[in-house]
Amino acid sequence: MKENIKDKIEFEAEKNIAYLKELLEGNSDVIFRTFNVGDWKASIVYIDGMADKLLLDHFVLEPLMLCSKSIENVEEIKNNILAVTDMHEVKKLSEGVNAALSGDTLMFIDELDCAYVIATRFWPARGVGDPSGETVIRGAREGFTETVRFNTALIRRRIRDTRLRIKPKAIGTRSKTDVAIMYIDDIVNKEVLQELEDRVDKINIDAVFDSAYIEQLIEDNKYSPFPQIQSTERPDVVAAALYEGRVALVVDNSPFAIIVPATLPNLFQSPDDYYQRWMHSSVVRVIRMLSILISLAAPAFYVAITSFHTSIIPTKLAYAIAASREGVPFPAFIEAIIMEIFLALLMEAVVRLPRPIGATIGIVGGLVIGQSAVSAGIVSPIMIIIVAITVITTFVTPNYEVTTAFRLVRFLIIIASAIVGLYGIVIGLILLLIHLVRMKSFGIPYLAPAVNTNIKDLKDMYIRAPISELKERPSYMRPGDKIRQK
Amino acid sequence: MEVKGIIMRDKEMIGDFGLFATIAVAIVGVGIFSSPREVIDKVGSDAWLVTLIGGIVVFLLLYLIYMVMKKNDFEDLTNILQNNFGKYLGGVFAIIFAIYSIFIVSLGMREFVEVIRQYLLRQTPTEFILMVTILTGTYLVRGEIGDLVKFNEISFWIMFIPAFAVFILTVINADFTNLLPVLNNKPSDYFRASRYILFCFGGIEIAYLILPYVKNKKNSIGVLRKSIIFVTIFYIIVMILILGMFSKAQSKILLWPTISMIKSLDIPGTFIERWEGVVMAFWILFYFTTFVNTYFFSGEIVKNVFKLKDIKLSSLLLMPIIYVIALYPDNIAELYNLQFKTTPVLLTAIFVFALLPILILLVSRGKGRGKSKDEI
Repeated sequence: MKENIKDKIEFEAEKNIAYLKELLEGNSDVIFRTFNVGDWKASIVYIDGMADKLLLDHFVLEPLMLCSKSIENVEEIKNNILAVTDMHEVKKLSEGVNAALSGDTLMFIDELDCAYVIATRFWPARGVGDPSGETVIRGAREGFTETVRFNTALIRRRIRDTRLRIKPKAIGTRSKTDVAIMYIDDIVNKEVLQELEDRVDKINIDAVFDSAYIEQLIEDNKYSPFPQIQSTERPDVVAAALYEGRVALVVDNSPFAIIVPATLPNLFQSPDDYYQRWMHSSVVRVIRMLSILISLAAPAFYVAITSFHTSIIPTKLAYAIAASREGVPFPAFIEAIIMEIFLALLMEAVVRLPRPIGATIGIVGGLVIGQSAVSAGIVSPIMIIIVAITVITTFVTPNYEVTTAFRLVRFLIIIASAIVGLYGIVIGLILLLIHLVRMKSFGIPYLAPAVNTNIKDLKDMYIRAPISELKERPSYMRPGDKIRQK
Repeated sequence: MEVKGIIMRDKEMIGDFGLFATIAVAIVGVGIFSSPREVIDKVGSDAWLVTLIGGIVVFLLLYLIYMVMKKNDFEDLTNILQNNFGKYLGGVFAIIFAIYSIFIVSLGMREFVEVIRQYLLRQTPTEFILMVTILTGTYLVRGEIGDLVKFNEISFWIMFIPAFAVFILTVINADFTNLLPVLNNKPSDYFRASRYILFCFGGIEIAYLILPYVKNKKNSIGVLRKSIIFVTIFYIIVMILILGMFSKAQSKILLWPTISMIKSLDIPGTFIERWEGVVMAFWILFYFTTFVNTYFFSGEIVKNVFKLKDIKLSSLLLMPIIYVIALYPDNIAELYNLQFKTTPVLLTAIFVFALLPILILLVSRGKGRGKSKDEI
């Protein structure tokens, strides 16, 4: 149902207050206060717990009530008496009410057809903490918090440029969550920016609780397991993305900023790649790509060679595998599926539990069940090794959402390999490739720069060239200003 | 909420590498399995020479395609044909083109499936493998042309890096004295052998599809030349290695000498003992790219001739046709008969690749088109 607030602000402060009291009736946390300012009546409205009472007492009420005897003109109140830095006028009552509901203080004075909004937002907030999901060995230890303003400040500190833009938006018809769209005006890809704004404006939902909501509402392809937008808790990652010509969205109440457009190679990179020496980073990148292939294909390959192509492995190894599977009642496919499901359960259980209990689950799950599953003859020891390899290689990828997508794909490839062996694995991988090739994130191919290749972009993809060689911004993002260093 | 990335669709153009990779992966296909046997059977140790000549001939054909496109402002093939020959005759020519491509690629599909069955899945029915491959291809064809090119770009690396690795490993066992003597065949033998090698180069018609979308059209003839050189070198290496490995006498009696060559690969100390299974897995992509590019090309023609809404519909129409043609031959022998020894097929090939472009060039010159359009 649409919210119905009248727009007109009356000349008498008390009339406005009476209207608001009716509008916000039954709320214990809304504070109304009417007082005299010289010859005029004035009233303020704010939400207890979200506004800074100390500021109101000392710099609003105190001067207004004590020093206002001599004023003659109502305009002087704003110019001479209100001792607050951040305030503005609103002509519409609805705007004022929304401001009050987000922690500002709304002030009416007789004989004025506008209201003053004093910025008094103040609430208990978590300080800047460790970005626990994206730790780096070397690099900043700052992570975003739940307050949009702190987060934009963390980013601004890294971009002291007059061309940085922070556009405010309110999303959610009821929640009116603050969202800041950030970009650097002369670097950003204007088409992406335009498309993003269009999509954000189209959102018509009652409430958003986290940037994940917005991410899912504006992404290109909702029928894909792959994340098409990058989310991060690190201000340095956001700043680096802005310098590449991308756009960031910082959402209130969410310690995750989202960055568009995102391509799969982007999601495989970690800030550490740039903070470590380039040779090391290059090796790590190659290892990451290999490991995602291994994690995709290892269990499926095991299923394929034990069920279809026993002849392609050395005879001794084939005997060893056969011997270890001696007494296992299931075919390799069922064995693999049991272990995959068990693994998924274990990870899900550990994520939700408090840390001390999580460790217990790890021991019970990993050691006890794993060991006894083998000795009970339900799975073969080789399968346990395969699962261990899969887990380790999966988590080499820095982005958790990408690993979950690949986990889904892994299931499908295991099924395919159970039906047609190696051919199934290859067809599965081809299908995956086709899916990725057909995807786009805000008009940028999802696999760029591996596709539509520009040789210069490859300096920062499979490997990470020395910083001194990275003279240009990535061309696949089609940035405005292309040169990064001279 | 429906959000679709509609931005920049019309601007999406194909870069030089996209063109290079597309031509290369579309050409290198399943023919590489059987052609060496036929060629070596006809000309023995001169097989590599025939390959080189084949490469040059194919480049000339490709140049013809480029000239046709250039004279006609890089429009799409159906438009060119209909503008030059009228709506109906042009449509018929276009359909002949599409049918020929589908016919060849379907027979290739059968060969591919037989190879897969021989080396990977002995017990799986032909029909099943066939269906899975066609459906996978359809998934890609239902996308846009840009997606196809991106797929080709990535496949290029996945195909050729392992292939060259295999070559390096086989060089160790090859005996290059088998390449001698040089040039001691009758000229007519070279001619007969070249038929088989030209079959290996099938797929160049993809240039008709790709060229209109290329960003840098001035440069594209150079890129085309590079990709033909690349493919020719690739084939020559295969020929030389097979000859070096098996010699003339033995290559003749092997059904698929290329695979036998891989089979003899022995890398000590590795986890895999018999490589043909694994290499076969990579070869799937070799055929798949040829198939999917031709499929897209034919789908595009059918769409344009019958004025269908999009390629999703025309690909659905083509799907059963590919399936039926691929299942038509009873066995491998009949398959090779159909491919190489049937006169109508041969004549159509000559018509489609040589006569038709020349005809278009003549007609468009006669109509006075393209005089002022020499600069693009």
